[in-house]
Amino acid sequence: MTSTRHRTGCWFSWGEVALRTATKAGKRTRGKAANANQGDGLPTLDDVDEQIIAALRKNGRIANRDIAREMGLNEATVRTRLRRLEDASMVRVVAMRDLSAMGFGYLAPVGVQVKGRSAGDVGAEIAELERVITVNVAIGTHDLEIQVVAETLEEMQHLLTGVIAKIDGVERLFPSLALKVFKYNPEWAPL
Amino acid sequence: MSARISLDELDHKIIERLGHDARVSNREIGREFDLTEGTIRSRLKRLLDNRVIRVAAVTNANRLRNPILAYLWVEADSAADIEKVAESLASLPEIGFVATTLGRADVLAMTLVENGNELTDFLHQTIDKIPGVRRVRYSLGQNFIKHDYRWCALVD
Repeated sequence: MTSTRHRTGCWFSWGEVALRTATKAGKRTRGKAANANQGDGLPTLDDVDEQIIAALRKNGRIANRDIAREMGLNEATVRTRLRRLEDASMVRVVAMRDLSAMGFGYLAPVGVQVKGRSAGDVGAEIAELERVITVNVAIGTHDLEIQVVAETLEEMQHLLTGVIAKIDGVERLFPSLALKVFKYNPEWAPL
Repeated sequence: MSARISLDELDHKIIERLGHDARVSNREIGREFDLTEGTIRSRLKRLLDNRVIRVAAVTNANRLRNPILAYLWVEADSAADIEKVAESLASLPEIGFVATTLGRADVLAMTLVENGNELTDFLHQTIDKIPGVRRVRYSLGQNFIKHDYRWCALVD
């Protein structure tokens, strides 16, 4: 499974880069692929699945009918395949909201140093905050890497020094603030 | 960035609904909200045209073996190089997030890797060769406690 992928299996790789999976045979087995188990709990994808996913990466609202037409399949096949992919939590088609269009002008990637409590516990408590959009337990200088969004600088200040800083186990915060976002395309996520 | 348009309660409801499952038909949303299919269609078109939302497939990162989110904190050779470095990083398909920042580094970039080797290769063979990159520090996000993939930036 690993050898075929390399880093093309990166989280977000954008555009035509399809899902990196062990598509060894790449056969067109109708409607079946997402059922076969790979041994690590996740189903295998074949070419048809990958093409459906690629179409939905470009446009999540494209009709099954149009995907089917492009791929020379019938609509029912596309519908069945997609349902299987979704049921198996392989893919989710969602609306992603632009931070600034939704009023969040401030995005702060913040390192958190934890003391006297496990990073996981502190992270879980921070994760409850709606304005915190990612929390990762990290290896490196800081114990947690989080991302905080806010509508105003005042709100950001309040979240950092008034809310997060006061969570039990948070020792120090190492904040940075995004000046200009050049790219933010989540394509891979824990589903 | 996106032109700011004002959003009302219905827009927010539609966005919220599509945040769970964006394959639902306009007619179905209309039925749920007791509105016509046409209303939903035109609202949705407005949201998409104004780049408030983008509807797309997200795939499960657990397909990767031990996915590690690598935060690359990049220092540029000079202040004048920062923008160019950020643009170069953003052009790499492996990288999903790039922003110029105040504080911890000049530019923050994020990528998902499966192991340390992959990261080292990427740092040495790709990142280090970008003109204007002086130094890269990194932190590795080992497990996702929270990752709200419904946020993005619709940058041109």
